[in-house]
Amino acid sequence: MTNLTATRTGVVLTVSDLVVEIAVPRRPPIRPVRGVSFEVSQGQRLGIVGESGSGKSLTALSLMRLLPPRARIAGGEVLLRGSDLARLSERRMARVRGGRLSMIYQDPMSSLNPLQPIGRQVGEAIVAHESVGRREARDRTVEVLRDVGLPQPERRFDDYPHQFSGGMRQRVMIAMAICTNPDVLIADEPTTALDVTTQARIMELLGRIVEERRMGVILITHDLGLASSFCEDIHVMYGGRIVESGPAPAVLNTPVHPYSEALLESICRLDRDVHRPIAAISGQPPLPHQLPSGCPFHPRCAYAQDVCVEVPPPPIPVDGRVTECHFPLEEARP
Amino acid sequence: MTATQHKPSELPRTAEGGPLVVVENLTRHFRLGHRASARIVHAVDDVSLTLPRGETLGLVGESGSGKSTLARLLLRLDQPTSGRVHFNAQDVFASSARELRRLRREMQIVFQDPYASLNKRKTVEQIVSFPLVVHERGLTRKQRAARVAELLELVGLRPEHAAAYPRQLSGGQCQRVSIARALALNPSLVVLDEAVSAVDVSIQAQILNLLRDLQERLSLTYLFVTHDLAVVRYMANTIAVMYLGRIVELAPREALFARPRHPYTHALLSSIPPAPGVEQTTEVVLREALASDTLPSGCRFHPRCPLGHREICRISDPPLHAVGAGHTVACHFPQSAESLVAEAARETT
Repeated sequence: MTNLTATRTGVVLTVSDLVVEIAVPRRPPIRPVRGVSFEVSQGQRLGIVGESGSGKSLTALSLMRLLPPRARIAGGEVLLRGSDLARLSERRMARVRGGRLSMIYQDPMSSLNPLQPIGRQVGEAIVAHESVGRREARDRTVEVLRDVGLPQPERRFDDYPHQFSGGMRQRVMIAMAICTNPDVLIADEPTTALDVTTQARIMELLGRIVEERRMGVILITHDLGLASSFCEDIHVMYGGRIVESGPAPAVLNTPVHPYSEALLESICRLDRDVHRPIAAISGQPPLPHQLPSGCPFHPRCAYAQDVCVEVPPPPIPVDGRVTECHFPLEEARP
Repeated sequence: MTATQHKPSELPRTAEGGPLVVVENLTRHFRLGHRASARIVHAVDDVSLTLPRGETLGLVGESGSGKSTLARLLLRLDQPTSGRVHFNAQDVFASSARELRRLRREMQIVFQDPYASLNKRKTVEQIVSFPLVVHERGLTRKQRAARVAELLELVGLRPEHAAAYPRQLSGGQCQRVSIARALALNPSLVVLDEAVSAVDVSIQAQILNLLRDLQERLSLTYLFVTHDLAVVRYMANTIAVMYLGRIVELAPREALFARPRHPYTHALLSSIPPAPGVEQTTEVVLREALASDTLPSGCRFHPRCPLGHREICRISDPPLHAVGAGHTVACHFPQSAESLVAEAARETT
């Protein structure tokens, strides 16, 4: 055991050069995730922001080793407290999944078993990962349900998912994910299926829980506003790579990658002049099997030069961040 | 019945000049369950509205607020329990089958899910030309193809997209196909039901700009249904906020965002994550709704209202009343966010 101060600030999850491939019959495999690296420390809130096809969800699923049948981790390491999840046997992975590493999914209705009372579903996670008796599992479940703000947990223990509102169901999902006190919690679009007023409450709850329990969190989202209000650090994904990463305020106020800048400009915001058209990004996000040459963003980039078409930009440090761009926006800005 | 400040029956109902759509006391109740145990869902309850020509009315609210039911009623995709809709001075629900056929050309809809709303076994050309096949029987195949090409160009698609199937297109492109189909018959009203909610962030701006551009070029009238306040602010001239089947606040865009008065509108505004780099100012927190089958007494918002402890809110249902030019609100204590927060704090202590 290392000493306490080291573990408090210590890195718990290191992902390096993660590659995900999807097998396609009679063709070379598709690579939706092409070398993604990041770290999560205890208590850190990390946001991975991207559009559909950027590889953000497959990154999350590969950490959990829950990739769809044709997809596999084709390279890289996923080190959770020193053990490489990418190479763990399925049996040992099953012990990690939902134990030291757990995940909250987008749709609370389809992620809960409609035929089982919610208390049993939450309790199952505790029983599966710890050697506790039935009585103790029940007490712990009630306690964690109370902690996520479910009113009268003793009484609602035996209720079924359909008896709860969307927000309450998402609270149950959160309870299930945190009841084993994981090192890292992955939240994949946790509020997309919820109403705006509920969304704010759920993010508040998530913030409180991870702070109290000092968990690392990876928030996967397409919503820059949500990421910026919740996360300390942000990674922007595009075409299977992290194209800009750094502290949230820096990335959001003075983005250095043209894609981050364009994405920020294209968001409909409450403080924008309604009489002027929004600066939309032209074109479509690239599909993993039709990735452009060179920099994946070059066909949509306002600053693209010849070199961008030919050479994939390497990661370079700029202004306290890392970005993958031949012409980062640092100098251009006043 | 509620007395509304907005009195549609007094508005001129001439076909030209007057509003395109006038909604009068529209109500749609759904009965759930059987006989004795049946309960009534008040999906839309006594809603009155007008849609001026060439403008956009934004309808915002959370799931279950009745905004989509209202949109469907306007297009007569559903029958109301009571109330009327006049389209071009014509009573939509009293129209004969033949009149209705003519009306249908004038009103079109674009749905949320770009993939689910297109037939995946048809090409883009077949999808976009289908309204023409139904309503413009005189057209030759060649004329139809020419019209489709025109429409595709109008929505920013290339001619070669005509032969593509929906699965070969991105979500944004599919939504453009839906828009082209909606415009095929030169309608005057287009209902946009969460039309940009399912497309990617970088594509959303493209579609919104396209819709604004089309409105100007074709003098379209939009009913823009959404849960996203930032989007509705960009799109709508007038905004109606719905809660449990009622309009709780109706105002011109500037007034609604500068001086919202209903506590629910405040809560919606304050629950949006602030723009990157902007500090959250006042926060209005709603009480959590208890899953309840029955409609609350009095003001139906009172169980979640920061001020809902008051006697009158539990007893009397507040009617919409004017608080400014074209600005109506259904609340006993309409006020600014700051004073709402202050009062709520005072009440809880």
